[in-house]
Amino acid sequence: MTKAQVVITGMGVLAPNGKTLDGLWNACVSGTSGINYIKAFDTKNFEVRVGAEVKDFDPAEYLLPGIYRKMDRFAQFGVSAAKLALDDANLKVDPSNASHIAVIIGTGLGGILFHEEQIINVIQSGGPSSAMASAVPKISPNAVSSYIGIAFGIKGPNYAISTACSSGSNALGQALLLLRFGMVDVCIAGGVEAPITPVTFAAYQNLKCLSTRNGHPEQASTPFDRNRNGFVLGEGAGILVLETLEHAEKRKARIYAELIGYGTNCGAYNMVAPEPEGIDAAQAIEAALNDAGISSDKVSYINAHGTGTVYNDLSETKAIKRVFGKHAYKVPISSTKSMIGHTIGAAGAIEMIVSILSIQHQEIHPTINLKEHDPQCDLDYVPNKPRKAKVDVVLSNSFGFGSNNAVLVIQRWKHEPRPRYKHI
Amino acid sequence: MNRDRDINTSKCEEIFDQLKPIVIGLLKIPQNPEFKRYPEITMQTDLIDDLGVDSVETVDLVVSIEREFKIKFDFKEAASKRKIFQIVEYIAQLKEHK
Repeated sequence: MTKAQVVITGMGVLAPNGKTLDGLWNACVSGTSGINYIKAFDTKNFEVRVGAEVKDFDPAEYLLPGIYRKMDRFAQFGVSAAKLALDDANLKVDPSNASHIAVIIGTGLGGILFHEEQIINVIQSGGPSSAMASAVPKISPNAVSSYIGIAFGIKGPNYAISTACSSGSNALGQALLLLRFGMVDVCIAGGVEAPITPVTFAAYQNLKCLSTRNGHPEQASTPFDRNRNGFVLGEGAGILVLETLEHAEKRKARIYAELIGYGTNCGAYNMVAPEPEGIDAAQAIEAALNDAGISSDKVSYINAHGTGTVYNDLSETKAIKRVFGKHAYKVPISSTKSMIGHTIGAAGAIEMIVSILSIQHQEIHPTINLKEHDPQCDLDYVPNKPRKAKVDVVLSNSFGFGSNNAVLVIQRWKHEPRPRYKHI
Repeated sequence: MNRDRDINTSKCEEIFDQLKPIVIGLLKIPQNPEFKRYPEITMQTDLIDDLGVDSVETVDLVVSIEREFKIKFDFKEAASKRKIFQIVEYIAQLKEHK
């Protein structure tokens, strides 16, 4: 069976350190953190007071009131970023193509801000009659994919994927499968999250997985550093336009990169801790490389999951060593989360956008705040300074709670058909 | 309609002032002065054309207005009111005949 090649032709991002592609890239290469003291609510009684918020986000800049008003913040991020991605791809949706475009969006949590408001309202204002009817469509994780459909008239397959921290990467991977096997011509895919809400943030804090370095917010996220003590919760969205090569060439679209590999699995180990030896993570990386049909020595850069927890960074390092052998010490690795925190369901998608920008600019952004190497994390994490490099193939890791792993491989667009794929 | 016109204007303004924050809060209309392009709530605002209010939100609006003004709407009649001034006049009518 021949499969379609899949290319990326549009990107939209709302990240804690940038709301445009240029803004995000410039912030990342200059090591600018998007982590700040939380403004969304009063953190006076919290042990953790830092987070990575999207600054001055106004949905009215992107969407009509009839759309943005009805959504929780997470869906506002997603639909706004989808608009940016569609504009960037110069893709017009009309009745002739609407049914051939899919929407697949990853979100770990859904509309929790509105959910929390409703629960507090019911408790404080006296009973069930104060729960709003519109809570039902606002809370649903698929509110984001559905509203992308409604806002732009997109009528193909439409769903949300929820696999915690790997949701965004799994959404992109599932989009790759739909496109490869000809179910649709185009897929709007990515990830969104808005988890900085009083109750959910408190729960993450009490799980003891968040960094408690409140003194200097921009220094709170320290992946791979010996003194790392947890991740920083972030919010945002990354949405991409993926399409078959045939469709992209027919409409003369600009091609950013080719999505060539996807591996996903479940370690069946624990809901919150990764398997310490990185065995299942390594298997997901291997699966993605096999799917891409390339050997590990062809990878020019790894965008790490790199959360900054003691557990993740060590098991991820071991997983990379398992797959890459000696090459593990040569391939540059960096953590975008050192600057934007952990945006949960959005992370894999924002990091995919960063990886594509890395190919475009032939440069690798640094892992910031890496001052003292952990002797057990002894690979090249591109500490503190950006690096010019030949970036052809990027591997992007996402390892989620629930031992859910999703790994993607992209390649610089070479204008050439690949074996086993449909030749056009 | 004649009866509508008879309703005291200042009473309507009072109701509007009470209604406006409900509409803004319930429909989550951003009020940050730094942000532009959010719809204004005036007597002439059309719930559907200007705000895109849908059937689910109509249910929430009716419940909130009933609670605030301690009145009981006829749901069908309430759902036919699209402009803010029509809702204001309807509330005034119901309050008068309470």
